[in-house]
Amino acid sequence: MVLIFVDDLIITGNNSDSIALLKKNLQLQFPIKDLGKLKYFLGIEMATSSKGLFLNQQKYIVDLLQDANLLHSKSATTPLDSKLKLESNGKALDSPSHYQKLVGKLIYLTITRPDIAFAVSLVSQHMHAPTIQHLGMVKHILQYLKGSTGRDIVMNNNGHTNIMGYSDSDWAGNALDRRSTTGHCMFVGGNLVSWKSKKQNVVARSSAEVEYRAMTSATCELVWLKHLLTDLGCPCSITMTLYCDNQAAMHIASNPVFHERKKHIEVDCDYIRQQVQSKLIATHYVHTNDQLADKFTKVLLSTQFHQLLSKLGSINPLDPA
Amino acid sequence: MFSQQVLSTPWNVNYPIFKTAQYLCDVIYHVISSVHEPKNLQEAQSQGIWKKAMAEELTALKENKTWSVTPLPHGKHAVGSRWIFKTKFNSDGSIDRHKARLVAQGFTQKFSIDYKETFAPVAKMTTVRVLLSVAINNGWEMSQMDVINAFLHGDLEEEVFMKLPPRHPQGGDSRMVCHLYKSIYGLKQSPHARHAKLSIALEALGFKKSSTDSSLYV
Repeated sequence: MVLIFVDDLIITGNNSDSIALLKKNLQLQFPIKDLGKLKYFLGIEMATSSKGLFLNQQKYIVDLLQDANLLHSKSATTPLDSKLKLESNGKALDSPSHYQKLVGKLIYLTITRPDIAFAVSLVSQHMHAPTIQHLGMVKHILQYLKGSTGRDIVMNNNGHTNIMGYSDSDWAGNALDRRSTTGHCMFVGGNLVSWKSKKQNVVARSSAEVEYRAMTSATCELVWLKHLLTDLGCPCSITMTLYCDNQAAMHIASNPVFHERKKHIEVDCDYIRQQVQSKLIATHYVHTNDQLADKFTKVLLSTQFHQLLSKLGSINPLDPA
Repeated sequence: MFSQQVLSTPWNVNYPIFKTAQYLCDVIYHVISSVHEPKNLQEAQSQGIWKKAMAEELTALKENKTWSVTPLPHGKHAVGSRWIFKTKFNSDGSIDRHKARLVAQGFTQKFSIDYKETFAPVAKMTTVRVLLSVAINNGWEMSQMDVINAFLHGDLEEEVFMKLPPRHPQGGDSRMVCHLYKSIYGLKQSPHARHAKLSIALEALGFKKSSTDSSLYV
């Protein structure tokens, strides 16, 4: 199979003869360079070792730090200050374009850095009117990156291609508009492939409702992943597991009766019920301590943050083991 | 343990003194800040490496039969063109090559006259990661290819004229323009034209476009 990204192609498959034939055929039609084994794709460095495939964007981070003049700054241990409180009327920046450029680059960096996803989603909510406080948050993220330039995502051979996901949300975490944040992360074959951190677009009335919305959004992603795997020739035959830490939301998802307290939740959220009933997805309870999607929804303390990171498969090879 | 990483960098990261991110930053900062790119044509023409880069680009355009020089037909307009100069770096910060690129000033194009369809899909990053994970779990080999001058391979459906590049031998005649046959960097429809061509080639080889991500072919 072939994946096209403007002028870069990734070619893979189970038959090395047909791969060689495809390369030859393409070379007849286009001036195309065979770069050999996958190593550097879209600015992502990929290194193979006996421990798996390591993805990082180290060069991109260094360029970014240079752009922001923070190459020689001190480093931070987490992307966000744990005592962070957003102000409603901070002093606006004179020219937002520098801020917008930095945040745009941070968004591209989230390709291999799930650890900064939540922090970047926070700062990117203020692209139109950034304040001095927001710029401070961006600097804090950059200082965190400075101390962790070598952090990779690791992909291992676990011998299967099953799908599972974690869904979580905070509860009215944004003190300014009282909206909540959806977070989810998905694993295919035991490797982290998809994650999301997004502020919900309505105010929710209960924590169960927030979690229910997050589960619905996670379900959509799981169903898409299942289709994608079918296209890749590795159909996922077993039921996909979705872990969630809210019992009430799980009951709503699995129980087809009408609940008085959820009558205001839009119809589209009931998508998850249909998927649960057709046994495509099974919801399981997970204790908050093992909730891997936690860090996509809230500010965490340093120790908690780093424990979750290693479970997600985001590691720093230069760290002492 | 990280044999590939060690090999791809000019210094040995296993020495404790080099382990600090600060050192990495210093080295790359030194390389990047010592590179200068010409801002305009005059500046570029005074330097050998950039003159060579421009000659390479013109050869590629010519070999590819990108345009023919014709007088501008009555009632048509021509988009502008200019040179862009860029130094490309390797992932370890060393200089890869000097690149001069002739681009069309697509912002002067008019919808439905100079261009119609502009959409071109790019792969979702999630698809890339899923593909990697599936390939690793199945022990598949992964390789990478790179289309040279990717944008110059799309065939243009619309009739587009471009002003002659600066200092073209026929530049003395102000009526003469380039009639473009192939897409060129900067045109609004270039990504679309390029993707269409690659897509037709892959489909002819028996591949099918995936419904979940339109830049994935199986």
